[in-house]
Amino acid sequence: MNIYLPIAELSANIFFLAGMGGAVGFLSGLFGVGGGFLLTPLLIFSGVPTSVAVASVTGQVVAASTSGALTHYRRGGVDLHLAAYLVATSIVGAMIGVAVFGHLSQTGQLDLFIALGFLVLLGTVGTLMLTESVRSLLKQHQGVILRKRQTSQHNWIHGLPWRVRFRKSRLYISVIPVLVIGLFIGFVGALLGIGGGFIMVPALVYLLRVPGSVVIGTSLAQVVAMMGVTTILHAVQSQSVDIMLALSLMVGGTIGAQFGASAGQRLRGEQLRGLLALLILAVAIRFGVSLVIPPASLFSLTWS
Amino acid sequence: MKSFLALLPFLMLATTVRAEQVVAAISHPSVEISSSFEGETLTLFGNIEGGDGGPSPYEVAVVVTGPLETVTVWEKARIFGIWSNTEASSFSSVPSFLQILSSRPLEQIAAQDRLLELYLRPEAYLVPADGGTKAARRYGGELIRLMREEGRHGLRENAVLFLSDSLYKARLDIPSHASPGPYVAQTYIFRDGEVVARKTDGFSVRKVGFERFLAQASTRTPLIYGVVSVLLALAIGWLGGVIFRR
Repeated sequence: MNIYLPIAELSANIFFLAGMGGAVGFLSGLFGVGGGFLLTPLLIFSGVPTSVAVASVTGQVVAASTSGALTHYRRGGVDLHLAAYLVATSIVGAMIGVAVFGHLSQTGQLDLFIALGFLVLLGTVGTLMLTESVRSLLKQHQGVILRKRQTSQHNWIHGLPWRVRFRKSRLYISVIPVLVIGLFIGFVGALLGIGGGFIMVPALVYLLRVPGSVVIGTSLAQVVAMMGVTTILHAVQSQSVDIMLALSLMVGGTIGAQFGASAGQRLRGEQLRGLLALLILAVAIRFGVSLVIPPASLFSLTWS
Repeated sequence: MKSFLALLPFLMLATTVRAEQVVAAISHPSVEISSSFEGETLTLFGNIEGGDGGPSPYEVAVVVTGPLETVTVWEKARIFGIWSNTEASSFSSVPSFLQILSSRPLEQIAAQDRLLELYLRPEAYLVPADGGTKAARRYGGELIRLMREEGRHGLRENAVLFLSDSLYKARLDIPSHASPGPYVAQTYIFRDGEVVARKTDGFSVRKVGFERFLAQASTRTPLIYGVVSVLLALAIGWLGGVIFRR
């Protein structure tokens, strides 16, 4: 059964879209990530115009992160104070990101920069995660007991000025790194159509030493607010949010995420992280290959 | 004076034109894009009237053009090992959809120059924005090739079928990714390489119902469209949590 996508101006199979949303939703439920970094590339590879793919997945990420954010909020796992600081600068980052997106789109460089962005970002994060999880798996194998890092441990970041007390996270830290993280995630998220949870969570844990109980909830709450604003920015600036496409993905994604979450409970943390790292690297390699191999046609068209 | 000179060929044509006339129509006055739109097949048909039944048969050529758009042709080159768009050439007022249908191979119907004059060759539509440079001509060739690959341009030289000596019909496929807007079907009736009758018909491709509403909302009230999209996403996310977690 085909459905006409009014903004993309093409007809696509609704089961294909919902199935893709479902498969990515399953993985996002399994690994506890938003899944934008898989969904945007998949849509681009299956022929949806890049600008429509990015803008519509942004809307889909809002839906994918909402139920998780609400669940964590009810359990008291969201530091709203910290999330507010992150959201504030991520919106500034998103505005810059959407403006850059529009400029690249006009100059014909959007596809290139999105591929480069995914390659660098996913390549770096995937490699870091893979080495980290392999190392911890090896240590477990050798019988070394890993001591979890204490939140009281400090690094150079904690020595910066403008310190603010975040009660829920039990932190008294400078707002500078918080604001910089927000700005970066907002920019990257708007440009690539990803929530950036897989960058945000490690940044909160390793750079700010946010305790594990509030990391995921705070990150999800930040993603909902940031991607909500980014969706509106894309709708106004590039007018490429295809609500029918986003809805098809949302329905599949919401269902898939539930199955993913229950499947994830049967796997150990290190294994999950290792698998996620491999998946991230696979997408990075796919983008890398597409940049290097000679294209099927040297010429392409853009209509306006 | 200039406009008179421009009109001159038509005036001369009018004096030499034979009595033929073509009565043509299209099966659908408009193609409506709804949520289940997967493309549409139209039938163009017509009857050539008033002919003297001369020795050589009539030939028909129809050119169907979609809304005019500006198109940019990008050329990729390798920079530091990475393929990226480096050069571009723009063409203005190119039909986003161009189908040429005829009853015989066009070169057997009329001379190349005549076909070009009548816009029965795709090259006729290419007006480079930067003048007729050599590069623009090269890009023009690529533009036509890519339009064919994208399903925007087609040349079907056996698409017009004669049901009798004077009655013909032709099938026209509108693909699902056709741009909405006004479409023009220009019909030429040839005999012995000369145009003996012509007719212009139009139809529109437009989004209807909910699709029309969405497309208009996204361009006319983008802020409201964006806000509603986000509210919808929040509602679905919340609903998903309620249905599956409780």
